[in-house]
Amino acid sequence: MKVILIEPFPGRYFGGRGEFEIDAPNLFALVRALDAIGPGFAEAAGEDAAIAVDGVMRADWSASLEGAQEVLIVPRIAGG
Amino acid sequence: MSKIAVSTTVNGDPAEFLCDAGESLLDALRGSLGLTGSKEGCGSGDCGACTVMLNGQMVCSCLVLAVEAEGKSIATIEGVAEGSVLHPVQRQFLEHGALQCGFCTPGFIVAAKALLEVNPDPDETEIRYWLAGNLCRCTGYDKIVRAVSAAAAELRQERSAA
Amino acid sequence: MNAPEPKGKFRVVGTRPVRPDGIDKVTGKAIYGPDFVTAGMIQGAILRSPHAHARIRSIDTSKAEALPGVKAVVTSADFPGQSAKIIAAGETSSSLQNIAATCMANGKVLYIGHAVAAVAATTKAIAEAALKLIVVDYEVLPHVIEVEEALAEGAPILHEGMITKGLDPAPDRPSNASMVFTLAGGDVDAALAASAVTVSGHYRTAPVHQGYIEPHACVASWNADGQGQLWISSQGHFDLRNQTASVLHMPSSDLRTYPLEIGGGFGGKTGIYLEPVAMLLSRKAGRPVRLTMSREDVFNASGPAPGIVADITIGASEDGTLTALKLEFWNQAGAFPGSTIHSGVMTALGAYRLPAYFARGWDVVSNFAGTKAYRAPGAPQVAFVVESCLDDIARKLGIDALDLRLKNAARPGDPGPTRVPHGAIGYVECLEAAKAHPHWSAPLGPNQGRGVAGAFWGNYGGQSTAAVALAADGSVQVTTGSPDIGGSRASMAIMAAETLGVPYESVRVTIADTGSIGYSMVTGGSRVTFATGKAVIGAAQKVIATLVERAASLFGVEPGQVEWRDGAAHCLDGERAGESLSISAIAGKAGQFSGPIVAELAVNPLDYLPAFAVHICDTEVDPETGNVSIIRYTTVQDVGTAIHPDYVEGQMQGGAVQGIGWALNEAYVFDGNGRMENPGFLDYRMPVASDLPMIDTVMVEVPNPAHPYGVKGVGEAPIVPPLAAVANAVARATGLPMRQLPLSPDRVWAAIQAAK
Ligand code: FES
Ligand code: FES
Repeated sequence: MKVILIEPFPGRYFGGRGEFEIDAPNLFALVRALDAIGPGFAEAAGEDAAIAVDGVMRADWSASLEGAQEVLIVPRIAGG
Repeated sequence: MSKIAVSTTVNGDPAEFLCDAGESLLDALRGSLGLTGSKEGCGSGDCGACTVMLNGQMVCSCLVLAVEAEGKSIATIEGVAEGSVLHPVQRQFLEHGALQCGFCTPGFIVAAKALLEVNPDPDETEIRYWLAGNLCRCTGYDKIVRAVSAAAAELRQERSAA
Repeated sequence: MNAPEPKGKFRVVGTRPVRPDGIDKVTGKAIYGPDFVTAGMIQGAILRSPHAHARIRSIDTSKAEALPGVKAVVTSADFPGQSAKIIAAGETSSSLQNIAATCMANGKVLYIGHAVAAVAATTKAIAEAALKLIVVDYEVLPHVIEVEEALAEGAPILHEGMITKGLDPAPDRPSNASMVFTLAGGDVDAALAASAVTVSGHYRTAPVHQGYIEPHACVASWNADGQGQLWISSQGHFDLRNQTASVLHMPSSDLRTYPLEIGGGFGGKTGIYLEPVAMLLSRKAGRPVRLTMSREDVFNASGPAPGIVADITIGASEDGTLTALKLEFWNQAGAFPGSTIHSGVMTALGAYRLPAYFARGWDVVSNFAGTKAYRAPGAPQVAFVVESCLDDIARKLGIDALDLRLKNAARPGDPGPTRVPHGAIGYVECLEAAKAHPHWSAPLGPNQGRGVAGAFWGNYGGQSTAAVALAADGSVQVTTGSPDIGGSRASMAIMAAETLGVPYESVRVTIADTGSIGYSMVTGGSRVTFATGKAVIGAAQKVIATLVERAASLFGVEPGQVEWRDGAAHCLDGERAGESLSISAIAGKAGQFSGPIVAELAVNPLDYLPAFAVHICDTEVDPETGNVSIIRYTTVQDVGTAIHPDYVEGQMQGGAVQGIGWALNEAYVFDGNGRMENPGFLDYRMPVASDLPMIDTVMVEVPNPAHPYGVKGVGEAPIVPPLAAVANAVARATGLPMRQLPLSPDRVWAAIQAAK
């Protein structure tokens, strides 16, 4: 599964790298795997990340990622 | 400092309260008299949320001293409906969705009712200028102007039927 | 209007019934923040900083404490220590330290109006007299207001040790820039160099205020056993409770928080200011304490929206196809980091197809109140820059301003700025509706100009809880935790009535306190009709499932043989086929089943969709005075589905007028000491009725397939286009670029003079 991160995450946790190839059963596992590469990412992701799976925003991190092609991790954008 | 006793008429009923010399009529209404329908948006005469009628004159009650109400009659938003029968201005505000948060609404309704008492057939410009002392941040005024216009029409009809 | 407007598809959705809380609000009975009173309540007052930037050497409260009638005095020493932990603060997040420091200065004051101490006394007059007895020893520091001052070499630093985040490599010295956010794609410089035309501009706007008419107010009561109660008018009593409890280091469930009616928020009532202070005063005094802000306090010490400084270049080919966009902007964030640069970047990149782009936002702190969300936070300023620059391109190429936008507008399936593809967006539909509107082709008089601007707001979904309960007579109680700022009780009742198949009037809606229902996020991000609506609809569907099951038992058939239609269970099979049972007939038999019919549903939907809007504005400019009049205004918006059209139109009109105020008059004006010179409604000039024409509305409905009734969220998009729509109209009326807001008469007049 292709994992793409959008700033600020690559700069802050992954030395600028924004693309990974990681397989994981669900988003919790995926974020844990990313946290192993960039420590601190999991906590930041819990606070500030929005995650799209194959182009659709996903709220529930426990849902299965089976068959997913691309996961996009972007900063959560605020409303008013 | 001792308090000053003030005797007034509020919405047709006798009312007495004690106030400080520097207290505004708005504070007396909202505090001693428990009439919190009149709102304080600014306390400086710029928003109209505190609009009441004092001896038939439209005033910003935040700019009137409570002691000035001695012997006078005050009409507030709480007295606009007759019992539980809404005034046409109130009813048209509801029918037109002319309120969002509703915080400015009491001031607008008191002011609009006063307009229709002196001008039963105001055009859009007259409504807009009469209400220029009342701020609404939610609605952009469009539906308020339409509601007042509709209330005027309703009152004219009532009058001609009577 | 009460006239039903049947749309075929729906029975209640799309009609305009009177809102359920209406009568209380037109008769003065509704209880707003400053109206609430509880037994034994005393009055608080807050001492605020007279300096824009100063270190607090000491605070002596002894004389104040000795004044008869004073029950408690509080300073930052009474606050528990705070960590740098980030928590949700409205729709954004902020560090606990900064949230606490927004309520009470800790060591340093960062703006005029910053709270430094508070008193509770038996009367407001005594509390205010006591404030005068508090002695604060300040070491005054140099201050900064404008972005350029804040970033200048040697500028005083507001937050010691603050290193700009988001730059690679990270800077090695602290500065007033807290954060940078960049989105880039393609080779923007090469694309610009190869473009047939490019247009550049330097833009500036000032901080503005949401301008809600109700000042902040709260009542707090905190007992010795640690349990407390809070009565507030806010956009989200759950989030404000969480923030207050976090700052005070208390369990959230110890702080039962009651929502009062709210007199406008627009993003400004998503965070705490008075609440922990009132709590601490109450704990010390042993009495409930009320704190309120004056209008001046609201301007000085709540959360305005950031000003912006921006440089932009857009390139296009001869036929108007955009080739590249390059934008860098600096948000004037006020005293605390965290202004909305992310949404600014999204605004710049989300509406058009751009082969190459670079958009970077800077979050820069300076010495005025920390900024807060304001309706589509971060978007209007950037849309002003982008949509003004696009208008320059249209003029340079001689292309119709709407055609240029139509040619480049983002369409469903196009990749969005973060590469998440656009869903069922309706920008093209809006642009076409604007073009077809008679306003677009109406003739103009002398000194008049017509401006247009398009833009969008992303909207939001998020967490909400709702409960639907049936009474034995079949009437329906809907309970949510989402404060009603603009008629959402009505839209919840409409959606519940539609789902259940019952009359609108048989559904009543309560906004419950934090002890009575599960969590809901703030009313913000245009999320309530969408997300809380989904919770209400889902809970109603669960209720229907129970009704069908019970009806099946009563009919003596399987649930699959019962259909729920028009508010009744219809038996499809068996001996009683053709018979029906009304909602009351079933609900009334709860005693013979497993109990009352109630369903609660918690949701966290993120399949929301953005709202696109196009505004057309005609202005007339008086060449003698520079005064700008708005003579005609039309708003077009993709609203998904309008649940209650009156309140959708109301959002469109209200947002447009706030934007008109931002464009023409509104601005924080500071003197040389960092003091706001216009902290009142006389000099901070918001639009009044006589400044405006009617605001025409065109609701385009491109439904969101992820919501049962197609809701997208409508509240914020309408404030995004007007800044540019007005500026473009003035630019066309005068033939001069208008790149700094507000377009006050003196500024427009000076531009006209300079061009002579
Ligand atoms: S409170 Fe009196 S005019 Fe604003
Ligand atoms: S309805 Fe909110 S201020 Fe008028």
